[in-house]
Amino acid sequence: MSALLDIRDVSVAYGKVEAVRSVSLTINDGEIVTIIGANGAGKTTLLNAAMGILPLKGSVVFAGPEIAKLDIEDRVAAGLALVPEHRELFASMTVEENLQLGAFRAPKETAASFERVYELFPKLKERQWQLAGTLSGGEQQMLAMGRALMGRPRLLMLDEPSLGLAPRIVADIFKIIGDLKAAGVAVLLVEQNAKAALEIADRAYVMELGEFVLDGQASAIATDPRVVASYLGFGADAKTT
Amino acid sequence: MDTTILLFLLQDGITNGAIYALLGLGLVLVFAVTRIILIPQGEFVTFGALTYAALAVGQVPGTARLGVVLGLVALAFDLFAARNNLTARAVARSAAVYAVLPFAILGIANAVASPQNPAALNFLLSLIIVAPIGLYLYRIAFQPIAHASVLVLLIASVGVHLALQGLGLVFFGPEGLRGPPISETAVTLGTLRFTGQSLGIYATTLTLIVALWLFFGRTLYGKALRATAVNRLGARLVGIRTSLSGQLAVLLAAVIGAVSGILIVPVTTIYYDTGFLIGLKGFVAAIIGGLISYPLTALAAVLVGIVEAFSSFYASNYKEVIVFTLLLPVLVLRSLAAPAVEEEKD
Repeated sequence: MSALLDIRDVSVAYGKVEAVRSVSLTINDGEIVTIIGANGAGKTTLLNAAMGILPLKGSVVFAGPEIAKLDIEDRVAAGLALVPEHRELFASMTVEENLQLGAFRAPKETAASFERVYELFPKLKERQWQLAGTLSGGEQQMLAMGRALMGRPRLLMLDEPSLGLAPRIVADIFKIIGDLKAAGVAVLLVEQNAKAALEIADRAYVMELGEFVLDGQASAIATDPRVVASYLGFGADAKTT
Repeated sequence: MDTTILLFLLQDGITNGAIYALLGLGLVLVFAVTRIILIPQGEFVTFGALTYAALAVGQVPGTARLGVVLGLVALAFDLFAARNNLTARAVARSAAVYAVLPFAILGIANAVASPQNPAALNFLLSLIIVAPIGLYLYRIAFQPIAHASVLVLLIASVGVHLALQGLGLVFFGPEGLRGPPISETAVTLGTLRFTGQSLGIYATTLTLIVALWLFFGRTLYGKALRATAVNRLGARLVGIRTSLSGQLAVLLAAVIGAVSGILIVPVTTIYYDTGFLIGLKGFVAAIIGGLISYPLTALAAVLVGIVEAFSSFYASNYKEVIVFTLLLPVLVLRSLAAPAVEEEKD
């Protein structure tokens, strides 16, 4: 079986500065893959390029065809979704409207999608008439994920879903990401919270200075001495405080 | 001052204000969605008015042919832009919107045009002739530079305005035209006499505002337009094409402009360049609304209309000066209220 997403030899540059240098990555259907790495390693850049927000050099194959030249909107239609770091919600519109627009490309399934998203995020149902901009950080993250799921993606790319959230909320979010796998949605998760990410992921890539330095099964990565020293030591401390 | 004059001026001001409100709303809408300051809004007024006036005497106006030409140019742009991944469906869709539609409209105009047409038919005909011009202009002049800065978009906008004004002169000549009123009836209420036309203006303005409100509040495409205005990247991430939103916004602005033009051409003589000045009054209202608030823009438009009515009574030579001077205190207040305006980030 060929991979759902196959990123091959991709480089992304801001002007002359290469932020991502010839990285390759694959994700299979229903798999959770995480990219961990320090701030500025190029993780967000890679996700944005895969979504078409930034131009890239190299090949991106998704669910069969090459998509590296497609617009963002066509990638969405193909079943790729990104929840960006800044969430990019429609702040002055209600939760319900945000979700409804999430299904812009799949309007026929809107009702069923609403049911599914409200089941995953009961909080959103309570807040459905509230404006998105007035939600708490955790709720906004849930709304951003819910909005992306309304489009029935085959692959959901999450950029730092835990950023700036309280630990209890982070635990909720990671639990939901685990649930997504059961629902058959593949997830590409970019995280600084390496410990939590490695716990739910099937496979992991470690990114440093724009390159993958390590990849493998998440359980193996979690015990790799280099990863433990650079990422998990800090992550474990942070978790206990 | 006696009450009759006061009431008369107020009535006059509110009638004009209703038109400015429509135009102001169109400008706010287009700016919010596309960041274009739509100077050619005024040309849509001219085109709507003069198309209606020409149809009233049984002529097929040049705007119908302009639609065909612009449509074909837009088609060429569209096919060229999509040359790398042309699908039969995309080509068929482009051809339908950019070629079949304007030819069909020209055909209908040729078939139907007659001096005996009822005003309502001509009203509709003028609308379907002028509205697609907005769509095609967006495709040709704005869509290729949709991601440029506000300033670049403004320059393109001024260019489109000048081009359309020149075309207006070619199509309709330097003489002004007047159209027949939509209704000849009149109602007298105390000392005030409401003509059918001014009642038509109120009714149409209110209907359009309610229709826009329903469109934005209730329909998926209306919400998609709002979403694009609130967060362009967010909109793209759910699959709403910026170009679709832009086309829709400018199409709506063209409809609004054309309706305004048709409403006023029975009341004032419209020349090929009259629309620009009318559009600018709508622009004043839109600026007072901060190019963002619909209700504030509508209120400001009525204020502009009233100020204009009073100043044309007391100091008619300075009418325009007084109206545009309204902008100064507003701009000063706004710049004081918003200390650091962030440069656009996109």
